[in-house]
Amino acid sequence: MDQRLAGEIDAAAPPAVELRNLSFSYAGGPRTLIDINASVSVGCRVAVIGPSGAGKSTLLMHLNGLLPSPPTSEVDRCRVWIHGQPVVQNHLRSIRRQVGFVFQDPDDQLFGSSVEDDVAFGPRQLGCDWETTRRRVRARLVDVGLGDLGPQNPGQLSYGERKRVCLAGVLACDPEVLILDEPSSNLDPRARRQLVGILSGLPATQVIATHDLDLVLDHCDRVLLLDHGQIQADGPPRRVLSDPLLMDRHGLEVPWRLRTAPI
Amino acid sequence: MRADCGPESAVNSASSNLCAGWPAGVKLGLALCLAIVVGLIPPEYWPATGVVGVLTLTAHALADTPTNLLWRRLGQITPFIVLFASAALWNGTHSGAGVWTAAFTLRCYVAFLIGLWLTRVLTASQLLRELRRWHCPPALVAVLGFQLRYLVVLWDEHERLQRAQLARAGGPQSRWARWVLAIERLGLLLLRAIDRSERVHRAMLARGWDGGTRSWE
Amino acid sequence: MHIRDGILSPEVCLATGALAAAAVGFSLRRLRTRLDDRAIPLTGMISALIFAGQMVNFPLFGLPVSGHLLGGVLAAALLGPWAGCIALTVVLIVQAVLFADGGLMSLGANILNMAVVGGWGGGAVYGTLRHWCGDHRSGSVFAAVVASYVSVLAAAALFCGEFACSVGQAPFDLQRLTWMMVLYHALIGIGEAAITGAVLAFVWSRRPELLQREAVEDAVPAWRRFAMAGVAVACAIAAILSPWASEFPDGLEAVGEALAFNELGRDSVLLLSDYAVPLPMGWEAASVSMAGVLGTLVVLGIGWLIAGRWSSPVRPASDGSHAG
Repeated sequence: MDQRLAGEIDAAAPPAVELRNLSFSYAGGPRTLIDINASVSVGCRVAVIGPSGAGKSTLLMHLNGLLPSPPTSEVDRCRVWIHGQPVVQNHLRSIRRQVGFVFQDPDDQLFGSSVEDDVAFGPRQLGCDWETTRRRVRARLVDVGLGDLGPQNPGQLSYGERKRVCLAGVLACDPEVLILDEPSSNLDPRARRQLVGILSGLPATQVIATHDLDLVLDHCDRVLLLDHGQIQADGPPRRVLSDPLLMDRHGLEVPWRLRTAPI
Repeated sequence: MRADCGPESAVNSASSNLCAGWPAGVKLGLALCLAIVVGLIPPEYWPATGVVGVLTLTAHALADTPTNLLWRRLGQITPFIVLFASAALWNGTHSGAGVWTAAFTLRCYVAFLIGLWLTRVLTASQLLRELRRWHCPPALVAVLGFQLRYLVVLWDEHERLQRAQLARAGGPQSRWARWVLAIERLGLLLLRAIDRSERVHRAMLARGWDGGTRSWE
Repeated sequence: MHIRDGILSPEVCLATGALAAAAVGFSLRRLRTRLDDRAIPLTGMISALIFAGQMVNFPLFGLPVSGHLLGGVLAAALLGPWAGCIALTVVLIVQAVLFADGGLMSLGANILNMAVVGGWGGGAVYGTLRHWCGDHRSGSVFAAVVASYVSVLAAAALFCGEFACSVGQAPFDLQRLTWMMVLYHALIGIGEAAITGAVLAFVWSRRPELLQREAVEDAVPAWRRFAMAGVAVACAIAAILSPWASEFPDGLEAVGEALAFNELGRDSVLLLSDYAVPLPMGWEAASVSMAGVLGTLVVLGIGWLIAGRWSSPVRPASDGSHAG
């Protein structure tokens, strides 16, 4: 069944993320997402920007099946596909193996009592034995430049280090799609630079919700502007971000770098 | 009573002393053994309790326990010990009461010193690892791990709330107002803890959590 | 409230430890089979909250010391009795091992007195009363206030029993100590009841859906809840009436003889002849019992006050953190 659905979308290679007519509202609330259609090809880095409360985080959570997804029998109601696989309840395990999610607040994600324990959580849940897990933990911590912090208590790390441990914890699951919610918020310039450096070296497809427009310009291939639950603009970062009318209409500002200074 | 020292001091204590480097199992086992020995010594053999006490004090010296910490904590428990110990003397008529009271007091202090030594040398992550090695039920270890991780986070939040309240209230307040503020703080902390647990749960799901306890075995 | 090492005898520590281990094991099994996968992070977080809550000082009126929350009923009200018991157990383990608050050997007794009595007993009283009062704010707060008070007194009664078993051979004035314990805990119970009730009232005013979850109580069959509540209430009543019982129940005496306690021990423990309460002692006992009864009335009053009167919304959150 998956094959058929995937085939309808694209005969060659299914996109990494495919959203079709995705609408969503929290219980008793107004609609947070209205008829979202988008597709992200493999290896692409997409930024999702928009004012606070635009529905960015809600959109991201759909990609990992964190919000109620339809039961397997009702695959027709499914609105999200990852690598051609519909996000329905029976597939959640495999979906979450493919999609890694880095949350905004590292304290939410870093629940292990030591850095090693925390990074080991993902591989253990995916069924790796302790030996493989330990190897992976070491490798990922080295990848994010924290190879010597293994036995530390997460509470003792700086905010930037905690953020990087979160990233290591997600990377330890070897995701093909990486979702990041505000990866650069609250980071000082150096920590931000380190994080962007790590992200740039990753081959995974990336979907990044952010307010950091410089990150979008430096790092992403494509921008989705989300407001009032709908996609308002979709295109290359330089084009979308340099449109002053569009940006102003949705509560954003054209970054300094793109402003044409009056001479 | 404990509010004078935040939870960080014990949860994160990476105090570098001579005993801290010992294997966690040895430290925990030693403390448990000493506690049991002190419990088993009958009151008549109080000098033996004294010997254990001297050993414990030596261990404290090795662990580099600050003297003022020792005095402060001993002072905190003294009222309780005196209350229990003096209950025997109230009777007054019994000949063995004096010895019994003295032995009882000594036993309480020595047992407390053993526990205090453990807090100086054992860190939270060592405790968790040791419990895991001793095949404690994984669910219990998991809950313990969450508690140790988030106690500090919640206490930080509590202090932020308290600062915000102080900034708003200004000068000194009546006891009643302090009560209401403390309740408000605790209530807010509770709501935030529950919200945080939802977010943590979501983060666990995103990393493949299915309710199993493999990670804590 | 925490029992230190050295106060209870090794036999009692062993027995209470075994009981506590069985109770915690049972709770863990329930936790694994009955609740969803949210249970572990939620229980961990609530146990961290209870721990933090125990460090928040409440000024006592006219006294130089300050009181704090114990949290058994609060945990049970939020998590149900099984997870509530686990949350409290974990708090006590950490306090004993990492904070030297409560003994290592008496950990079992502490878990039994506070986690099991607070979680199971307090939770059962809360559940039963709430069942009767209905699923609304005042009913829930009233139930929590009564349950907190009962659970503290029940813990005190249990402690007195454990202590009595411990010092069977010692020259000890148990009666007077029991009075002091009951009086002391009647005071602590009032504080605990007031704090628990007020915090629950606060939660009801902000996020009632957290407490409305019927699932919390459905986890326990009604008869079992009723039985546990009965035991807890009986313990509390025993605490109030304990000054009248001038000696230990015959069963305990028989055990003492079977274990060959020497004559000296028995004479000094059993101060008074069987069932004869001399008048001066009786007066003292009456006054302590009256204190217990008065304490109960005060608590009922507090419950009524908090449940009924504290309906004005609490002022907006004093938010110290940045909006996330």
